[in-house]
Amino acid sequence: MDIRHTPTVCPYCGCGCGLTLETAEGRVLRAIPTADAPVNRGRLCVKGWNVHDFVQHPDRLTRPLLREDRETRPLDWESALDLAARELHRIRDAYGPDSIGILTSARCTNEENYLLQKFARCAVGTHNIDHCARL
Amino acid sequence: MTNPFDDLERSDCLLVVGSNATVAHPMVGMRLLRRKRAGGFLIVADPRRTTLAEQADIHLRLRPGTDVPLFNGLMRIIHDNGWHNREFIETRTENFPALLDAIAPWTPEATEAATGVPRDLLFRAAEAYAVSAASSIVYCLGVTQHRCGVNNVRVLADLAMLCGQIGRPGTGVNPLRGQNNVQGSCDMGGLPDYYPGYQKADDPAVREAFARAWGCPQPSTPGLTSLEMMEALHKGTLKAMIILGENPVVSDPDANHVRQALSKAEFLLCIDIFPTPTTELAHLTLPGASFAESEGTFTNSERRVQRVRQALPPLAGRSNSRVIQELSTRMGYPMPPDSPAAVFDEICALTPLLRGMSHERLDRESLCWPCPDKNHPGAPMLHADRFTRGKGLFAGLAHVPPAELPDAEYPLLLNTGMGHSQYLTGTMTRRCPMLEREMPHLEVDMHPDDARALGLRNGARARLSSRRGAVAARVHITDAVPAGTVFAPLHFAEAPVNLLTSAERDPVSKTPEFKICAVRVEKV
Amino acid sequence: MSACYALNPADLPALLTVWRRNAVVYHPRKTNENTPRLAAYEPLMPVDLDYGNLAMPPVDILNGYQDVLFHWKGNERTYETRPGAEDGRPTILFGIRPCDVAALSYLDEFYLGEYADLNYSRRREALSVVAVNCTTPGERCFCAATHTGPFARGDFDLLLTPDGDVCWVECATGKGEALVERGATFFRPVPAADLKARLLMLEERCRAAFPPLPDMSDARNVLLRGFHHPIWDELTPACIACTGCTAVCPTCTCFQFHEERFSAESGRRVRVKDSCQAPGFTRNAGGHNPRSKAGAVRHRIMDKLVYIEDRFGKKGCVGCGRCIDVCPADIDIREIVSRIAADAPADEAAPPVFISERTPRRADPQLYTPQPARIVSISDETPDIRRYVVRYTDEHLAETFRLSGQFFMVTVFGVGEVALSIPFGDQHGGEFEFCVKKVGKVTSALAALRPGDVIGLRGPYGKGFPYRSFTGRDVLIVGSGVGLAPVRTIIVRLLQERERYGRIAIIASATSYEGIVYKDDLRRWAGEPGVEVRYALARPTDAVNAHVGYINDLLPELGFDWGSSRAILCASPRRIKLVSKDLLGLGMRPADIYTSLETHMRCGVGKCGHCKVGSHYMCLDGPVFTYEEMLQLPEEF
Repeated sequence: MDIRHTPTVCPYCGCGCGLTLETAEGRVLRAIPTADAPVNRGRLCVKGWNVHDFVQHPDRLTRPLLREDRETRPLDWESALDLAARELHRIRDAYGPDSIGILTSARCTNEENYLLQKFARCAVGTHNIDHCARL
Repeated sequence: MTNPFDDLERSDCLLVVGSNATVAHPMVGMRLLRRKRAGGFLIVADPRRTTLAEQADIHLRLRPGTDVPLFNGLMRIIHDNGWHNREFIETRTENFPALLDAIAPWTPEATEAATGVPRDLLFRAAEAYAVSAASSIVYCLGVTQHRCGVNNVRVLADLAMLCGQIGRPGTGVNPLRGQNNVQGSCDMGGLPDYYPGYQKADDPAVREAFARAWGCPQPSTPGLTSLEMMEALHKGTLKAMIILGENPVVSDPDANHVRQALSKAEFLLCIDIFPTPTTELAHLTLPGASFAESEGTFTNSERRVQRVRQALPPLAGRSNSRVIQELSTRMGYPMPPDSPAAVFDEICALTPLLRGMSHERLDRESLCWPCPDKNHPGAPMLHADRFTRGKGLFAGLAHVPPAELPDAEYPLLLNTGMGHSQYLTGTMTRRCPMLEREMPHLEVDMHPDDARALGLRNGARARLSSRRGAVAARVHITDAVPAGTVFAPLHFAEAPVNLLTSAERDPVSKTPEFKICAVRVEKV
Repeated sequence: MSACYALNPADLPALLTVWRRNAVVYHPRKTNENTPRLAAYEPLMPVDLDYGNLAMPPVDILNGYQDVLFHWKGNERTYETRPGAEDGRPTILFGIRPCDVAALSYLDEFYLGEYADLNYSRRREALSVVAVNCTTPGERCFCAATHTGPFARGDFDLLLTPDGDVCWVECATGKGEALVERGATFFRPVPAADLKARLLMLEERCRAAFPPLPDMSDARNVLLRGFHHPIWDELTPACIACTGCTAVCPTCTCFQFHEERFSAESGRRVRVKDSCQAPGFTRNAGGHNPRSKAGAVRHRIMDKLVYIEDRFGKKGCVGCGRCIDVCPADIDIREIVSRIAADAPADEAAPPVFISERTPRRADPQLYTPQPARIVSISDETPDIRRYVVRYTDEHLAETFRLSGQFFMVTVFGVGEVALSIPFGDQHGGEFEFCVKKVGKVTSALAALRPGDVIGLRGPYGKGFPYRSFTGRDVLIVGSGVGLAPVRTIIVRLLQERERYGRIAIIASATSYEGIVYKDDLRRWAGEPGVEVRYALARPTDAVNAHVGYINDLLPELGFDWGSSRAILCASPRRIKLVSKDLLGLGMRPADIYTSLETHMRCGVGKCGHCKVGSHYMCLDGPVFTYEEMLQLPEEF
């Protein structure tokens, strides 16, 4: 096993603990606290110590899924993105850009959040962008 | 937060309000308890007897929803005894007379009557907070998730300013963020009224600047908040939604209402790592990349920007950034497949608060914003010399009672929050075997007196219902909750407590009143 | 010391590169957070012997992280199972410290003793240990106090001692010799006698560099005396049950079964690390938790310094200090020992603790893999207790297996596993039965099955009641609710050899008569000569002549020759204590009262740690204990 260590940040609460993911053969073996992380200094809570288990859970979504009536069927990425763009285009053309709303995520990175609000304001042309900070 | 986490260990007096930190923010809880063990004075204001409250020197067990009376009452005691900081008030604040007017009615007697906190505790807490050399306020969603959440925050700010307990190490008013990157998604302009770095979307000059930077004319119509989006879906004016990594069907109040709204969308696109009750409604669901598969940055409660590094390739083959970029390009606004580091450089160029940062620099050290240039060390502490607006403005607030209080039909008050081993809607934690074993189903905490009156035994199955919905739960009898109140965690998709909560919100922040609604519990 | 060598430290990269040709070599490497962690060795990477200690112990490499125990496929009507253990790849652990070597010594004893853990043993056989002695102690190290360092004493294959520009090598095993042979050009033989003095001097120099250490030589007795010390309640509130201490402990092995389902018809069972510091560790399906939060904190400390050594004769705490490093609550095992030692009078004797004798190694090639068995019939025993008759689907196994023990581990495929007492004897005709009360996830899934459906069985496990030693005695049997199930066979056997025993009294108890199991059997037994059947119910009934009240009320009127009688009590621990108290009052001896303590058994074979009470595994040493033994257990069952 080629064990690798990647220091990163815990995805749960707003503490922002440094944790290191130990990976091998495409799996996360375990999560361990990053020794010199400023928030947690080598400690973690029970959620942090167990964070690896959800990353590779068999329930993870691995393919785009299209719901038609009651059925869902998998799509490849290209068709899924084409379909999404087509639908959003259609709705924007028919009802205007403010007919589309976007919820970005307090779980995702700054870069992803930035891109999504830029997408809203440029690709769609609306300020209808929000997230669940209120919760 | 105005001050960094480490600062908590420099406080002489810690006032923790509406925060179950040992559960919800363990590394803050750790610091609070450590400071307490080392001789710090700990005051906890919470209706529940949490672990922190058990350890506290003073537990102010206020009636739910009486934060403003409690802190107005404390301020009146402080002022009457001359414990306030006259110099700070004169040099750093304005509108002090308004505060005096607001606290005038809150005599110790009136405060005790409204909050249920005995007078001697009020006096001791007021003195400890005001006269300690450095006192810090830490608060969380127990303060904000009320219809008067903004008032609850402002009354804490009034208290800190009255005593001059701000702008120095070990002081400050410190909100704890509930999610890993709430701070970041706000900073990044994931808000209808702000561009990245809190630059106002209703300012034409700001819009013009972003139009130039992005090479795209900017919309001028105001945007909708998430709540308004749900209303607009109901009304039919909003036709499509894109939801990235959120689960509003479980996390939002009055869940049935949310479900109906989303069902009306002509097109609902979800991006998530797991199937959720929200993705079930989506026309198209794209598989998301988890944090372990993502490269970028998160910003914590301290405004500390830290590097998130990719440990595994995206499980479904594409990073979230790449998905957004490709979708944008298909929509006619080309986004090149820039790396997260390049995207971050773009962010920093457009966001004065972060201008001095880059992935390369963050790889060496984490930085708290504001960090205006490459040599700036970041700013763990805010408001040292001046407030953002110049002088601190006293608010002086009146009490707004909760929207829905118990009555004959729904005689108990429901408080919601988090359990020790689960997190939010449980999408992640419930898939971790040990965490799920710890808390496999919804348990509602109930006072022994209430349980006896209802003939419920510990572990009994019960139905918990409000005017909006009902869930099945097991009863956990504990006097950690006050009589007349029940507490339920929100993690369980099969028993979503937010079916029960009211959609009443704070008029300014739009935060729902999750902490208070009227319910009844029945044996099944 | 079979052979000693000198090695030039500058040659280590070349040596590891040679070893790497035939094995995965793990070595301590500083990551970008400047923390030494085990990583796979790549050719000619620098090798630094001054790395302090590994932030995480090597135990998880041997545990296999998320170890697959077995795979299954099929549906309710037919299942196939296949063990998950795979052959270990040749692996060299380079650079583990003496504390972790001492831990390995315990792990070997733990995993390979009694029921040998196949997964572990395969990995262990493939593993060579190249340890490195410590020349400078770390900040929180206290191996010198636990006598597990700073120099290793055994259980390594090769042991390195850095000494300036030379590195001494001691070779202890054949595996070590093989390693030396593969890198022969790098090793220069030196006479063992010459080396001995030098090593002693180096060790002394390191010892002298330790900060002041607590005296832990009497830790066992100190802690036994301090079982009720106030320190446990003082420490506990700060503990946020992060479970970090057990995640970093080199001797922590507890695990939880986890069912992974790939489709409706296939899945596997894995074990994932568990922690006795998690409040749910000892909570049973009904919600009862016999161990308090303070009890959990105490259990970890006592386990490391008392229970492990009592049972395995090996050090449970090796002084690595990692649990102190990661604790958000600043709980410090050294301080606990020091404080209790200071408070507890040293001349006070530790309370008596009985130590179960370990049974010799038992082979079970399919230790964690259930065998499919078919449900032959199901009947309702009471409104909430069902009786299942089952038979192994493998006909050979059905005919030949031996029924000796106390319980089976019963699997519902894809759902989970539960321990169930099986009322059997050594004659079974291929079929046997058990009674199930629906309380948790697995028993609920069982309730949904129908005759003809297939479940999985492991076992039988545990020690049964030694009823044959009751010859010539009066025998009292008390069964409360489903507690009558584990003793039913005993009753049958006693009655088969009726003449061997004195009078027999059976007391069945429940809330109401509906809750009594084996109603027909009880009625029939009541007709046997010299047998008395009594009922103690909370609610009156017209069905039988029952006493409305407690079991205890019925004891005096039995008129037994109590001084020489034997009793079997199957009830809640609370009821057992109450009844025993009265029996002692009547003149019984505590060693003559037998009880069954079936608490939260999960793996059934003494590995998962859930049922460990004191130094005992309920599943191996019990579940049958005498009342005398029970009194010497910590009250956590």
